[in-house]
Amino acid sequence: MDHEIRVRPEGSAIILHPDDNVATALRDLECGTALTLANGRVVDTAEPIPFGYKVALRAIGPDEYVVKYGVPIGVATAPIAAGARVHIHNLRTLQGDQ
Amino acid sequence: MKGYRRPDGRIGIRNHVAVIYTVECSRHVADMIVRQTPGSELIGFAGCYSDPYAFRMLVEVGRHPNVAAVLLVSLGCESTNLQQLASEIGTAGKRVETLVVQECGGTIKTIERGCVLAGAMVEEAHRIEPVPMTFSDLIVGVECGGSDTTSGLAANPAAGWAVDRLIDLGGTAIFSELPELLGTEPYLVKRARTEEVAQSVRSGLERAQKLGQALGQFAISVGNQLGGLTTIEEKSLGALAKAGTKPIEGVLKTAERPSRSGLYLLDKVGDVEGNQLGHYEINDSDGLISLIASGAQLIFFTTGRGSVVGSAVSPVIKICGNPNTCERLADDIDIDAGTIITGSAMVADVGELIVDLTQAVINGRQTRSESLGHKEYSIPYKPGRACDVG
Repeated sequence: MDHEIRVRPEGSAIILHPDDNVATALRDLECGTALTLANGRVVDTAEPIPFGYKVALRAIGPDEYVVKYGVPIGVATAPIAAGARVHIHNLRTLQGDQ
Repeated sequence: MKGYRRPDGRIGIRNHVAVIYTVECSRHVADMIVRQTPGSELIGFAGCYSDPYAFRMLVEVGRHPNVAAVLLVSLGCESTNLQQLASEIGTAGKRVETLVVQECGGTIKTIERGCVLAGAMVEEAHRIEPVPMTFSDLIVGVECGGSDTTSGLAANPAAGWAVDRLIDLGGTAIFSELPELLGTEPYLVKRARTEEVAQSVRSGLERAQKLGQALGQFAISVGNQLGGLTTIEEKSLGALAKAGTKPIEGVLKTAERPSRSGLYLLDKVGDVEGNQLGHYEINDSDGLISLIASGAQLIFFTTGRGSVVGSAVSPVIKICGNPNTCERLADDIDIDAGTIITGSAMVADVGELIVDLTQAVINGRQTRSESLGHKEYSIPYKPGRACDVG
């Protein structure tokens, strides 16, 4: 677990593995918060992202895996825009019914 | 680093005399002996009717390398076989004494004799010269309790980082809690060292799944989802993070010990069909005692909401990832992993702190739960788990 990547501003969000397509908010993020990734790319939050919730780092298509900790945590059920919140409304488990 | 070499070759990082009651009826007498004998610790099993799981826990706690000698305190008519218990603990080569309240002549006489015996054992323990030890002599048990949104982001990854480092240094770690790993099968199985280990991992997850269904305790809660966790695999991956990234060398059954160094998974789900009691763990201390029974001399305990428990046998290092909890329960938390959340530290920074503290605790520094006097243990009945006793 040596992989995590800091998102600037400091304390805003964390990416747990380089392969991840989501970051996790480390505090409540307002809509329009500019998250700067390690490579300098900026993702603007498209809606409020509460503490502990996930934000898409790039556009994720329907049926595409959502990746956290470097592995799929489920599959997108709708198109997810970069900066959008990723949660039960657009992500479902790969484990059948929960 | 230094520790206490025991006759069976294992090295303890503490030098306790264990006073073990074999039924609730002899608990008070055992407790009074411990209160009057600094250096001794109280442990025991309340049940009168013997239980193979509980019996095995008592045996392994008695044999444990953190325990220098054992005094068993029995009432005299309970079903647990005192002589068998004494002789099984005795195979570890340490001093084992027994007292039977009914034969000694009651409370006062047994306490008096117990204090003489326990006092002599503590004295003998103090004369054991510590010997050099390395991380290859260490087994760490990893447990989480009072988890929250921060657990999978901060405390668990930091503990996992420390586990990876200790294994690189020749150490061994045991993680458990299969019911909280459901949904991680593809990655857990991939980490199995051999196909045989992979089969054991699959079997454990299948039984954990069945147990969850049988108990109706399963999957991901509304509270988890309010905290931002969406899927069971996401929640389980957060729990798995505390086990680091190394291959799984083996799957242990209850009370079984790792045969080599590296990472081990403890499977104590048992045979679900034969499980009469159901509950996988009745509390966190129950979880700790089983890690200790598999040989863990030290525990990494990760939390978010906050836990205060320690252990009568093995020191517990408390790692907390929630900055608010770290502030509110500051007296109880050894490692503040909330710095990962606030952005002032990386996972590796906190992982280094855990490894440094591990070294200090091996060398005798008290953990917070030790200095606060926490000496919990929990050995419940687990009928139906007898079948999986290793």
